[in-house]
Amino acid sequence: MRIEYRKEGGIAHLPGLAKPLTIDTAELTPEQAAELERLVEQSAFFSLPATVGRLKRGAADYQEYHIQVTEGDRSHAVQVVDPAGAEAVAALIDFLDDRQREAIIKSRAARQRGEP
Amino acid sequence: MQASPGHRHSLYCIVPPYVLRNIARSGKRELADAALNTLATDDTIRALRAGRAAAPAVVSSARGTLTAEGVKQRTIFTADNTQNLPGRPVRLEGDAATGDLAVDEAYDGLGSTYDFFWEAYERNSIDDEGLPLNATVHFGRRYNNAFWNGQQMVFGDGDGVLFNRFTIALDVIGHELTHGVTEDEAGLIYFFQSGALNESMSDVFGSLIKQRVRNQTADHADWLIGEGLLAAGVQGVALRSMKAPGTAFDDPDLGKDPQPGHMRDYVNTMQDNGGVHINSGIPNKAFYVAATSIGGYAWEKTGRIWYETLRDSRLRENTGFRRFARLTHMTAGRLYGPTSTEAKAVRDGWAQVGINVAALAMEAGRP
Repeated sequence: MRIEYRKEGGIAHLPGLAKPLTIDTAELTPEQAAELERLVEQSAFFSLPATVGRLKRGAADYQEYHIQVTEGDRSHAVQVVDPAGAEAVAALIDFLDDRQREAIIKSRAARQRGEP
Repeated sequence: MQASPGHRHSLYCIVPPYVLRNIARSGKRELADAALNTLATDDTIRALRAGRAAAPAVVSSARGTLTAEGVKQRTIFTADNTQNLPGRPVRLEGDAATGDLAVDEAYDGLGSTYDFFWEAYERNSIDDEGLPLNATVHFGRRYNNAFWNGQQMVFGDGDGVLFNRFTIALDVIGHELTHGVTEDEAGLIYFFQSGALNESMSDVFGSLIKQRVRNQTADHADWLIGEGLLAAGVQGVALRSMKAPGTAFDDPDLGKDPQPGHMRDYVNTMQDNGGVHINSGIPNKAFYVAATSIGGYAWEKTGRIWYETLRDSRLRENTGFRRFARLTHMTAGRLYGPTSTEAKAVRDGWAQVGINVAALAMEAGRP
């Protein structure tokens, strides 16, 4: 299973965080891969509408999450806006954000060790 | 491309809101219920206000008993790290501090923001009719953001890696609440230049609220937005700098602050609702230049000019930078005289970001 994830919006435009993140379950630990598959299943991702969450008029500084999941020959893209509402969708976004954060912590540690 | 979230659907405008509001207040139950149901499809501040005014038993005295002028009505909720809004109320108006930092900072920040608009501009809350102020803290899990959902403020705890809790910065609280004021007065569409103006309004008044609490004149203010928000280890001082757009952060992970401070560097993009948090650097800088040139407390004159411009009926919801610039210059002329140092400072502020207000006035045939 392959997931492309991109986040934009929020109170500031942070170019580093707006970059797309690609996650392949083959590259995750078995536990994380199982967790991700469970979250996709639990959110009924392939049945979600193209947009999740509804903006109220005048809303500002909300984040938008673009998630595309590809598994075998099926692929589905969903755009979510704050607040995600559905807990299972929020949990999936949390998982993806955790992976982004892990990557940041890792690259920060590498820089501190003087690696490029 | 998505539809603009700020678009006003004509469907909602068939019956003018003030008519619905009067029906809702009339006291005839069936009519009031019907009017409230109609207003319920319109989830805006306007609808909130009408709904509150029509609450049972206080129909005739709603304004007097519920919203005495200059009296705050704050409620802080916690989402308990879920994404449910508004969540559970944890501190009501007049309650003692809870010891929960985010709750107490939100409560105090809302108070400072309310006091600012009331004492500086005699504005009674977001809608100038005493709308209660609601904020939810502890939203989501490690949530790295704060937003205005159209009705209330929402603050995340931050993840501690990139961001601290979002209530840490008073100007961020003021920023979110000002989105409500802007929507109420001008409805600046949250896309492209009108969206960047909407953002700039929030930065301007967010910063002024902080300056007033700190008792700082324009030359002593830092003009940073969100100082203290970036977690230890992030290379940067804040989210934005009104004084020097583009210099607030430059971090290997967050990237570099993308804000321009001049029209020649205007960023054309579809990201970020068409660059609303990017190009807001241009009007932010214009305000900074005008405020430091006028001198003194920035909320007194420059802030007043911007505030009166926000209330100007000529400020349409799709107003761009040039039209806005011209309106601020005209407002400065109206308040302080067309040849005043204030009007000149406003003109100079826009000139320094590449917008020539005098030439615009000539184009429009109004010298």
